[in-house]
Amino acid sequence: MTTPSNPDRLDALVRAHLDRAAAAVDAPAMLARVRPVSPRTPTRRRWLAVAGVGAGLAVAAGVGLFLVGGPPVERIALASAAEVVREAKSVQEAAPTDRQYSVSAEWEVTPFQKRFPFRPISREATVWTRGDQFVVQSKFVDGGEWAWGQDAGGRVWIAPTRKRVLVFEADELAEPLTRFCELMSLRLASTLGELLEKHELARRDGGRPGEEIHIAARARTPAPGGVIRLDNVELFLDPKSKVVRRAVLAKQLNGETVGRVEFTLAETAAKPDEFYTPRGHTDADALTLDRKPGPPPKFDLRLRFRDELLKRFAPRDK
Amino acid sequence: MVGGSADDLDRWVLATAPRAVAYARSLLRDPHQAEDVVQDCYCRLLAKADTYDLPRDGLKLLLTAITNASINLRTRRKPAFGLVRRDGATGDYEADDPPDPDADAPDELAIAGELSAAVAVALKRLPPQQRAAVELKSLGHSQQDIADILGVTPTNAGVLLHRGRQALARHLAPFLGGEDDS
Repeated sequence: MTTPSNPDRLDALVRAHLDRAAAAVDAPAMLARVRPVSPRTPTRRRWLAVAGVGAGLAVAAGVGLFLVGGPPVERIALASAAEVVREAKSVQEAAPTDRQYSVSAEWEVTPFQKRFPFRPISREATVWTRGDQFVVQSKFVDGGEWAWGQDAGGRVWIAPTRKRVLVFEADELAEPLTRFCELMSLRLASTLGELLEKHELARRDGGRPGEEIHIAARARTPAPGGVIRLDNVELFLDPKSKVVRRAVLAKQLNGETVGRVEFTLAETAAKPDEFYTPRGHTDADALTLDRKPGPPPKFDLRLRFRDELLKRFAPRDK
Repeated sequence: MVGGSADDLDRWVLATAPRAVAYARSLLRDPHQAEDVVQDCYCRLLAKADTYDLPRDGLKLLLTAITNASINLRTRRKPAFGLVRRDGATGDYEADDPPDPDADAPDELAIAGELSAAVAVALKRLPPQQRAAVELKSLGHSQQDIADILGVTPTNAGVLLHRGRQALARHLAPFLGGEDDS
């Protein structure tokens, strides 16, 4: 990588460009837009301004009720970020619910990622979660669908088609696959517990009635080596139910960020238990490639494929 | 109150708004959306003026909030399930965050013949994180500040800055008398 020959000159040019752009900004107009939220200033006019004419009768009625009957915003005692997260965790633990999240993922090109044999998320991926179980449903580029997940017993299964499924028992999961599952899963209760225990939490929302709760979490200390850990996390919660609507999880391994996964709540529904197992995503006559009891057969090409795949998951540079 | 009087806060807004709006416009390329983002970030910070000393520390907090909000907005404007990969060294988006396709081609840059316009176009061609790093540096922020604002490591901030400057130098080579380092 070469070095630009005159970075100071470039900085000066960029600074001049920004100065020109800044000179065109109407600062008093911006002040007028934000002044009503000054802490000692009544917030009612701001609420009227925010609501606006086009906000609709329902919203206007709600805001109006708040203005007439409620205290000024600055006098509302906001629950702390930790209290909100604790409540959200209780909600998760009280009733494990099947929730579908759409997924957007960004992956860093780390040594871990380079040796992973396939892309973790393809286009149009969704994740269904229930407790620590999950199912990722994706589409191939050619439109075919596939699914993989982890069932209640900790088994990881991969169904590239409805006619074939690979199953790995919990005790034969190699390190990369285990970490991959940690990376991809959205185990909300344990995630929220980890945030409470190991992160600095702060509220980023203004606590206004009906406003989505926004929690930002930052890890207090680096994760120990070899462990996938949450780094920076952003949570967006329903203000009433405390259900996590959106979660942006930056995950780190050995001190470096390995991925940033964003989950957005799409649907809540009751799924049968079978949904989190291969049976929910394969036909009745599907070929299951799993660990066979007893001594291995002398030669079975299909099982050989499974073994080869398992080898590819195996750690190479520990 | 930590954050000072209402007058202090007004003065802080007036002093920082031009820089903040210009920065947001550069990241978002949509002036109306940029002003909305800046307004929202101001509102969030002003609501916590009892906690922060905004006249002293507010600019960095403001730029951090604007950066996060702008990049989040840009992400949301893209297809919902796009598979994105990022350059490991810089954290730059590769597929998800390409340079602005509307930016002029280099020969058109040369035709423009005006350095200031060329700088604007060259900045547009940078991926947002590189653009943010270059702009923050030009405003006098340290590499550590840039890392904090962008939410990356200082090393990554340095790489972002370096690559941004490299690309700028390349785009502006016709105007800088052969300073292209490529």
